Amino acid sequence: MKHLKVLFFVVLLAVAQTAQAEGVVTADFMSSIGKIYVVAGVCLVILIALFVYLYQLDRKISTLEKRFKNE
Amino acid sequence: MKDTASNTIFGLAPWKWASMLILIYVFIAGWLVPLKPGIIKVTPEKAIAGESVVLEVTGYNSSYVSDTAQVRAWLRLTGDTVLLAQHVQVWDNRRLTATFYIPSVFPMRQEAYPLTLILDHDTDGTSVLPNAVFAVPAEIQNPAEMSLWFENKVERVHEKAGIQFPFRNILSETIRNTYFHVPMWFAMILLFAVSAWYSLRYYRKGDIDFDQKSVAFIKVGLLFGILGLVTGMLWAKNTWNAYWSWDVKQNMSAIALLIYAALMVMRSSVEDDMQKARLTAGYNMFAFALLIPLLFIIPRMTDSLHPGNGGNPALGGEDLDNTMRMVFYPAVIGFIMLGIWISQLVYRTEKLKRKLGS
Amino acid sequence: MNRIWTLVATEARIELRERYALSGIILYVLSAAFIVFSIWRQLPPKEWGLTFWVIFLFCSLMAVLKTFGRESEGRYFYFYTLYHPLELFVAKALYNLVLLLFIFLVLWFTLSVMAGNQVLRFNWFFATGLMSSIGLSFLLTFITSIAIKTQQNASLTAVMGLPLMIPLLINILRLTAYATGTTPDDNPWNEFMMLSGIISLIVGLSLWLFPYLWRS
Repeated sequence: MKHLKVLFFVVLLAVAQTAQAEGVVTADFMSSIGKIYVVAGVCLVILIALFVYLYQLDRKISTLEKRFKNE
Repeated sequence: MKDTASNTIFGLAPWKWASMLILIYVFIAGWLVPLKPGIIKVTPEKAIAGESVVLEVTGYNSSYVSDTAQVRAWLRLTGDTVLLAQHVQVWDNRRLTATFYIPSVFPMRQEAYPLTLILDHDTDGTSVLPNAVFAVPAEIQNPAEMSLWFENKVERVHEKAGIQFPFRNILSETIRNTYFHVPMWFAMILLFAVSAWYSLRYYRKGDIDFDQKSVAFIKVGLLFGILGLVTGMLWAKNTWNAYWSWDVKQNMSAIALLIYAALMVMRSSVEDDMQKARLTAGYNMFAFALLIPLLFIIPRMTDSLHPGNGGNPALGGEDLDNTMRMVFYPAVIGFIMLGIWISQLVYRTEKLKRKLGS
Repeated sequence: MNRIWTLVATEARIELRERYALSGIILYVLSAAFIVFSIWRQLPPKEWGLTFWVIFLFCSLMAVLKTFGRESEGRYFYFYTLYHPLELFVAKALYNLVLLLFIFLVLWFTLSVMAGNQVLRFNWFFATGLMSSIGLSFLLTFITSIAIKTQQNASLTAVMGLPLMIPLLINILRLTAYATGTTPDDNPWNEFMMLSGIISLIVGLSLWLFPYLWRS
């Protein structure tokens, strides 16, 4: 449950970042070159979220391994 | 679910390798296959009937220079009522001007007449911009000009050869999101379905293993659902102009996420393991059964910006041509397999944790 | 069947004896309607329908919440040995159905007095109310039976129940739009069939799953 919350927060942050970037850089950035940066953004969001999730999972397994060694 | 040593490649089940290869193919093809040439912009947007208008056309991925003399342009009112450009001047690969004379009378009576611009030449094939120009009725009407509408036809058009994604006016390059955003939903629904299936098996057998599996699938389904929502919002902002436009499909998906988030909250507030598993199984099956009308029937009865609503078929027709299918179907399969893979990892971790705990 | 009726009757008798419970619900409906109306002041037919169902939804949540809360642990055990879980569930759901219908009528009356009666097709509106009472009573009774087993009963009922109500609510709102004449649509049977489909789904599922969830 905790890592789900963290994940949600990170994704939200990513969206907020993109939203801000849109506002700050230029309004046209996202729609330049046939809006290709929207596709880039979507791919980035997916990849980053999957990696963050896998990172959490990896950490979880590592702690389990540690416990396993101790016992 | 378990990998046995006999059928693995480098210690990993073949279907996991397959999911990786498929997704690599999807990312490469989804990014590298070019878009068909199209028209982005036409100025001016308004033309007065009974006068000549010089349209400045901005193309996308176009190569007007290669057929400078052959570019033909039409303005179409409806079906066979078209005007041929009197003169087309190419400036560079992405810019040309077309001169039209718009007759002062129209075959039907409207406030304004939306005209669709059609371009055709050998290299780029045909490109279309719907409602490119709005014609305003003339003050003095000359009925003799009516025949101008029927003098020409859109004919001898060229088909652009090669593997390319279609160009859609508002979408342009974001049509590629079809391979990244849409599979998220397919994966989410499938993962929730698998989870409901495991809940059913828990209901029948009472084996706590099935409960763990169903929860793992719900967790990863939630992940994919959130991804679908976030990527959808990003896409919507740049095509529909708002992150959230209260579109039926957006709402229904958000509700689906709420339902399963509630399930996770409910799980965390029960102490006893058996009790937790039983409540999860019951609520999961109940929720999934109610999700089916929510996701599949209600959106079809309502008007929506999304393809696949208001009676339109979701896949097929205008939105997905054969070239896109070659990437889209693998994308769906690849992301679903990835989802199942991650769910398995989650399940195996939980199982280890449970074994260590006891 | 007789046994179920006895249960419903017992339920009702307990409720009537503790008079504050029923009057509490009526007061809840009245004050909610009053607050909403004092914010809106003027209610055109469309908003009238929306307001009606928003108030009804929260009142029904409020009313059903204590379905399983009244009995003490010992009484549960007593019920469990005496009655089949299905009898218990059907009795509770039927009792809630009556309660929701009562709320529906009270709310209709209240809003009619305060904001005028905007309903053009009485039969259809009453049918919508009846159907939604059936659907909501089964759905909420089922959800409360889950929530009662957790630590945070009240909030979980809302959290789990509200999103599941949406498919019902969408069809109810469409039927209400027909009943108040705010839609050009002339054939409500489509929505009606859809609504009854969802309701039968809810009733079927809850009858199937409740006995399984109840034993503990």
